[in-house]
Amino acid sequence: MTSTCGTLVVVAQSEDRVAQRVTRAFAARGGRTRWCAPGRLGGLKVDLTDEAFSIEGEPVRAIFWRVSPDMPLADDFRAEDRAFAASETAAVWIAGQHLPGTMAVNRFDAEAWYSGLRWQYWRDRLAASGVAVTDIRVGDLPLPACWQWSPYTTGEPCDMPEAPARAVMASACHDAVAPLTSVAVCGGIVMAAPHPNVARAAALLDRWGVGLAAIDSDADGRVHRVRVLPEFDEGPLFERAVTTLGDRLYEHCAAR
Amino acid sequence: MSIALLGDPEDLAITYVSWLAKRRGTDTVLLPEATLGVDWSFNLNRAGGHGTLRVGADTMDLRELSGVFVRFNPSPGVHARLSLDAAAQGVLTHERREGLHHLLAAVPCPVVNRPSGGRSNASKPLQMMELRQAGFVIPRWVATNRRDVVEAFARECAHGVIYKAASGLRSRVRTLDDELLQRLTEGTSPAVVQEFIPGRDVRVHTVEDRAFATEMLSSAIDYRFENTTEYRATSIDPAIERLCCATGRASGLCLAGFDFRVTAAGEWYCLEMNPVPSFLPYEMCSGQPIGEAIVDVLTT
Repeated sequence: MTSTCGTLVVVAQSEDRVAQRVTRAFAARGGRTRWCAPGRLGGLKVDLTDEAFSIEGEPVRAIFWRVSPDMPLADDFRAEDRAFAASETAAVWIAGQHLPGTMAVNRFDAEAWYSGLRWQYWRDRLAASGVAVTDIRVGDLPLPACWQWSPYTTGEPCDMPEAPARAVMASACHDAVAPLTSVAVCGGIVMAAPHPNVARAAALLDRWGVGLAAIDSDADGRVHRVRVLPEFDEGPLFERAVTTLGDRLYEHCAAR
Repeated sequence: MSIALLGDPEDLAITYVSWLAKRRGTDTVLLPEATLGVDWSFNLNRAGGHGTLRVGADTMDLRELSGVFVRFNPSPGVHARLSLDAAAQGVLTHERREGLHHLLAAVPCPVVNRPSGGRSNASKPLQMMELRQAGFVIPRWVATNRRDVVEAFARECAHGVIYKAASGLRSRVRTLDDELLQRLTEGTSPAVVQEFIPGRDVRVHTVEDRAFATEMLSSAIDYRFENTTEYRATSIDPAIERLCCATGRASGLCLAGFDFRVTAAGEWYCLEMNPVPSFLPYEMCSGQPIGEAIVDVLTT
């Protein structure tokens, strides 16, 4: 069985539990994996054409990509060369995920990857496609003191700065949201009865190459934030998510 | 209605577009990135570009903007009035840039260009795949850091190969040389190695549905780094013109710059599509009204 199955390349930090469990689910079906630490990608021998992508001479059938644009990718290079090497490496790996015969989770398009995968990017993109999103005010508008600020670069809500500071940063602020987190896997929501708006968001994300995401929404199903490199607590939901991903990746790698 | 000029006020393209607009009697507002929150500010209070822009003592609805021309500086400054340490400046510049991206995504008027457009230029292999799917003819290529693969590929290409950066970082295009082979032997990051196409260099700027083709006369592999390069207006295959305009538009770009090598037999090989093209050298040397076309877009 193993000999007919293409290789799954997992690019993730060693402590990434989601990647560990997806790898285990894939291997349980008899699939072959290669685990690559993001910081070592720059030193790997790769060759990519518009028909094939190989790593160390081995053709790649699927990629589980748990990398953000701000992760270092070229730890093996001299300090003065790392930024350039990382940029070159990312350019090739992002392209390699878009070959027709390669399945990648997540397969970010250039717009998403080079926008930094920020939370407000996904909100804007979903909203432009008709998905309802929570209310956000940008800049120095007068706002209730109980509102919060979510920095663009982290997405983690914190105390709202004073209006002059919000003007300088064009800060995005919002009412305190007690988020309901839904896990999107390959276009579906891993729960019994997802809100239709959240289900629509999951389907759109999958169409854009995002096969795994955590969608935070409010009680009315309006999307507040999307995390495309999510971590989850152990439990039945986690199990369903990683098993589904492992199965999907295996089925792709085993198909001829 | 006004045109907003956002980003780096020292940028020559911003200065030129501003001058062209004023010459037509169109109002412009300069929005330097470094003075956001000090000399000017904006807010968004609902989806759909509802919000206001404050410049000095004046306030206007964002829907009063007829267009925005954008040129960001890769290393934007911080206003002297903001006394911040280096770490805080780093946070500020990142947050501020993201906030401006948010603004540009929200305003309902034409933006030349929204930063989300044409992003695949930062991954040359991905962009070449996309351009090929769009219908362009692309010279054969491989992206690799393996010497044996480069040498085998070079042997397949009758006219030799060139190499260039795989990412969007500016690099000089060179013919395969000992320097690259040595780096490949020692271990390096991947580069794009591509079949060399004998012919002439042609840059096609598209401004929505208009196309301006400029031919570069140069003996250099990379004419951009050659002081003696001559620029002149040239004609373009109508099918290529339509393809360029459609691809620029599909990529979310009001303004795009397509680079071609055109063979003596009239075959148009596309090398890349630039989402932030430096159109000034082409316009100044060839006399093509690219800037006027941009102002047309920003005022209609």
